[in-house]
Amino acid sequence: MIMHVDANSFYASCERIFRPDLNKSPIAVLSNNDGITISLDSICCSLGFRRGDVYFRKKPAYSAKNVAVFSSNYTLYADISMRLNLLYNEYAPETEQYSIDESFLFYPDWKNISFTGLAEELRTEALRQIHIPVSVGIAPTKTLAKMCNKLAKKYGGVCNWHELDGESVLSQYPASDVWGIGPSKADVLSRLGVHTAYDLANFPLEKAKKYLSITGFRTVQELNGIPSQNSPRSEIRQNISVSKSFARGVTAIEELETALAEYTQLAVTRMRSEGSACTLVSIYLMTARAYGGINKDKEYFNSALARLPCATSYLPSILQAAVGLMHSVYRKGYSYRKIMVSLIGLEKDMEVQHELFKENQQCKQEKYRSVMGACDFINEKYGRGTIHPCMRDQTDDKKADGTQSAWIMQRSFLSPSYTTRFSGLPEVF
Amino acid sequence: MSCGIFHGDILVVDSSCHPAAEKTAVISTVSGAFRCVKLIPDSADGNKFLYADEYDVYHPVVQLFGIVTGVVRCL
Repeated sequence: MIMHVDANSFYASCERIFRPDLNKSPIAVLSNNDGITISLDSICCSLGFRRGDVYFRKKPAYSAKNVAVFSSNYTLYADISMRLNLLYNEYAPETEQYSIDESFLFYPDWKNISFTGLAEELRTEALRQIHIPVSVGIAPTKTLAKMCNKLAKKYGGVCNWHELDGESVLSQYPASDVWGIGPSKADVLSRLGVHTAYDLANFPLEKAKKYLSITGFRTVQELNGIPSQNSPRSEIRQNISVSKSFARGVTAIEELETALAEYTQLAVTRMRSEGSACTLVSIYLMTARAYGGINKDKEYFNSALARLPCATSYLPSILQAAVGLMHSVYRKGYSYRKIMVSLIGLEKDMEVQHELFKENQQCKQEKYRSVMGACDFINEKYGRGTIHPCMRDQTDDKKADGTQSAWIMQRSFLSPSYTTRFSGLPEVF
Repeated sequence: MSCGIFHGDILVVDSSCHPAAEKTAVISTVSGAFRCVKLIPDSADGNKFLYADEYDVYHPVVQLFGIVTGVVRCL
């Protein structure tokens, strides 16, 4: 049996934990640079607001309806997510974190147990211990568990597939809402006369493989109660990209280098945490898009790719290549809004093929791994960026005159880091 | 408070602990603030708790945040 646990309006719920004054107030959380609304609680939804609303357009409506607005505080959300997953580990022999607010709990060969009762207990404990409301879907496969979770949000928080009339539920569930069926697959299915999950469950497997690829084939199997989805942990990622939009336009190459160093370090840290090394580095630089032909002459975007001499996870080598690429695509006079760095061609760091004609390669790589391991340890213990490339010459990412660098994300409504900084601890009276 | 907690102390709060009589707890009040209180069992309902304010007036605990398990104090 599999449980799918999903935190309700996760970001908004996290913001509410340390703000008891907002217990009955609507809450909205904004995306990077305070662009659009990405999370709303149920009160905010009932007021007519939707996910994806552009903030500057909705600002007067938010003020009029006293909506508490927050910039996204990923440090807080990651910490709360970690606490939730620690709790899930107490309730299941095996767990898999699917995203920041979703996890699968596996119960292989568990018999003579009320899964509904267990799920109710898990919900109560998540609310009591971490103050986050969660919904639980229980089913024999991941796809059905996801479906049950969606239904659980409507029917009191827990939904067990075995307590439902499966045929009737599948007949009322749109095929486009099934996990793994995106807009393009939904279009294909619609043309083939498959409109509900019931139709999809009865879709011939050979046709599923032909029209929906192997993932669609697995989805059909899962809807019929046959576990077919692979654990993502068993799949090796092919590439890692880090990209963020700047708060304002950046023209100076020095500032772009600083942003590039930050993003490259982030990407390399992620890659190293997965035990991988990359063979290719790519960067992408762009200005604001010129929609409708306006300011077309101010639009510029370009990318470049470089092959490293051999696969590596050593930040200075990767950063050197990335900076070289940026200099090759940078053009003076443009106001850049985004930079992306991608590490491609990932392979296991311990299985890297060394160059034949270079001596002491293996010894050097060992040394690099030790240095990077020490850096990762320090950054994990004392905070991201404690050790950083010297290109990032200011640790607080401010210019010499004290003003905030333009590439730093705009977060005007950022809540304190309640759980990770002493200065952010909530006050008790 | 009379249980060794002073102004400016940092409290260690454990949300996984179950509430019990005489335990020091952090609760959220109806006014929307966190408050450190001593839990008093409600004689009318054994599962509920009360706390006394500075005027010794008893109020029900509506939302318990956690139990105080330690104090960090700067010397």
